[in-house]
Amino acid sequence: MELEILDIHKVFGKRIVLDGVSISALSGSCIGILGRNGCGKSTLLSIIAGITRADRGQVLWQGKDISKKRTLGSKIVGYVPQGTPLMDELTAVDNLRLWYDKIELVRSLESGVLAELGIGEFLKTPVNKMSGGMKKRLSIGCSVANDPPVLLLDEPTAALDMPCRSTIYSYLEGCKKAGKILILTTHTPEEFALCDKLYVLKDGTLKECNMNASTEEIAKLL
Amino acid sequence: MKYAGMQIKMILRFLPKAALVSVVLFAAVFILLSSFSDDARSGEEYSVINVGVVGETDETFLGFGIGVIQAMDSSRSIVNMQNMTEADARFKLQNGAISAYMVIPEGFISSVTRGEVKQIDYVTYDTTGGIGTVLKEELLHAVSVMLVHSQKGVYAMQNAVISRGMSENLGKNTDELNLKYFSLILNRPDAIDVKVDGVSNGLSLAEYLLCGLSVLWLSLGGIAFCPLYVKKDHSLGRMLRRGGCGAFEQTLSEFAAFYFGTLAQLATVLALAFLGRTTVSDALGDSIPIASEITLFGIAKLFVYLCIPVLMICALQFFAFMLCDNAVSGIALQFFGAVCLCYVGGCMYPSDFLPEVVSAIGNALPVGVAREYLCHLMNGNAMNITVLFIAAYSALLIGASAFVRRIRLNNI
Repeated sequence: MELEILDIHKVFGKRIVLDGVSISALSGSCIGILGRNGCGKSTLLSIIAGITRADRGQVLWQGKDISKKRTLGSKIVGYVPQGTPLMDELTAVDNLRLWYDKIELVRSLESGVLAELGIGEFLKTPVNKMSGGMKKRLSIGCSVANDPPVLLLDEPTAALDMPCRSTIYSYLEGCKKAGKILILTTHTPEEFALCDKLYVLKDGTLKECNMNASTEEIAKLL
Repeated sequence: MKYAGMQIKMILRFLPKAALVSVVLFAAVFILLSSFSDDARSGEEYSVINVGVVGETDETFLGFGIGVIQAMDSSRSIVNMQNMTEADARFKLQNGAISAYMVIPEGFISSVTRGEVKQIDYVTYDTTGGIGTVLKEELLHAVSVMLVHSQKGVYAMQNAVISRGMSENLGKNTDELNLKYFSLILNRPDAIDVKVDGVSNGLSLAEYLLCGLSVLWLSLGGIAFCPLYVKKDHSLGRMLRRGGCGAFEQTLSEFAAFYFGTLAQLATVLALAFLGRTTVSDALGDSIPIASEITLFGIAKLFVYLCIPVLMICALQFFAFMLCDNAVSGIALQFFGAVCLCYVGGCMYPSDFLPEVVSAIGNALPVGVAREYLCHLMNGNAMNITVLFIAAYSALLIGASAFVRRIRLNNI
């Protein structure tokens, strides 16, 4: 199974954010996208997820353009944004009920992705009383409700502690082994190890960088 | 539908906090209204001031003069004049039974009509000049009126009598003519019957303010819900839109929950008003008759009728939520927006008190329409034309909220 992002262009006002960006990814692969703050990484992910429309370009899944079909895209692509797509006054289980049906929720909590992420530990906790790590794990849990073959993660471990990061890395490794396609934006060198390919987004264009390059060499590319 | 259900659940969890804020706001507005009601009550009560009159009040003109003062009294004090001897007057002044006494010299009125000046002695302990000033003004006014109106005619009559050589009964004819004039002057105040029609649609000022301040209280109720609906992070909205729940459906779901929460607040306050009906009746009953007739059925009926303007006020508040992206600006906009709109909308003063242009604008605002609806409701006419304006404003504001939500979801 293949995901292709072809010739994506996006302009905000007079600023060219994405200028002909193209990537392709196969099942079981992980692509990392690096770049300075505000260079357009989140915009690229939101276009692939179908949240924002590109000015030009296509997102092809198995040869079908899913960029203009939000509902279809939501079944294929799971998206974990930088923000917290949760209802603060409700508990974890209430937020999960927004995305899972009853049976699937029970199964997932027992032996599925929600069990892997350890969400069962804080099911009855209101979101506004959760730590950052708990919120991020819950966000991931909500995003994969449809078991999508593609998972987009925007800085998934930013501001999280080591144990939480470890849990998330284990989960992502599991996703790769299960044949999912992962695309993540990152600033963290530890996450480079997860990736099969690394790209630097600069001045609207994407450039692949050497997986064996040091942190200093990658920083120079930015 | 799932999202709508979750919104209702969220509101139910949040209600205790919101209800507390609402009750505190209601108490503040109730105190404001009842203090006004006390002012209105005391304004309608006149203080009676007893004044002694010493002198020959049997003299016809003097009797008429005192009657004129009584009839023409336009001050907030009612002057009660009592005839007595000077010794009685001195004694009663000392023990406070009267505020002052006047000593009218013999032949005072006749001297006035002849153009001579004889002095009236006014004796009082009140050195601030309060009632004395009033009495002097009233006396001067009465004397001026008597002189101006009567003496024109008397001089004309005298000239006519003298020119026809019939002056043997001139004095008697002059007195008779003066008496006729004085009785005409005395009857003048009765020529006008003053009826107070109320400030708006026949409501008293207190009733009008009850309607206006109720709109103010409802408009401030949105403050409690700012933490729920004013958001900077719209990532959930974007995720929902991916899943098929677009901006309009999200707006309707959230608005429905907010409307439900506001109605719950209203029900809480009305229930408290019913439980404390004796206090409400004592505080407001004299100036607002309906406040002395609080029954369970009446409260339930009032709640149903209030659902209509509350829909529009909620739509206005919800639109304000959509415009802000943090709780502080949300609360500020809700508070200052409510106060300013309610001031212009004639909720704090009768709209007729404001300049014409402002009054016209205010009556067209949503809060002005809500206030008008409540005024009609107070008059017993719940289904009136303002219901159409309420429906139109509600639809417009909800549509505008959905539009703003759509823009926010598109902006990353």
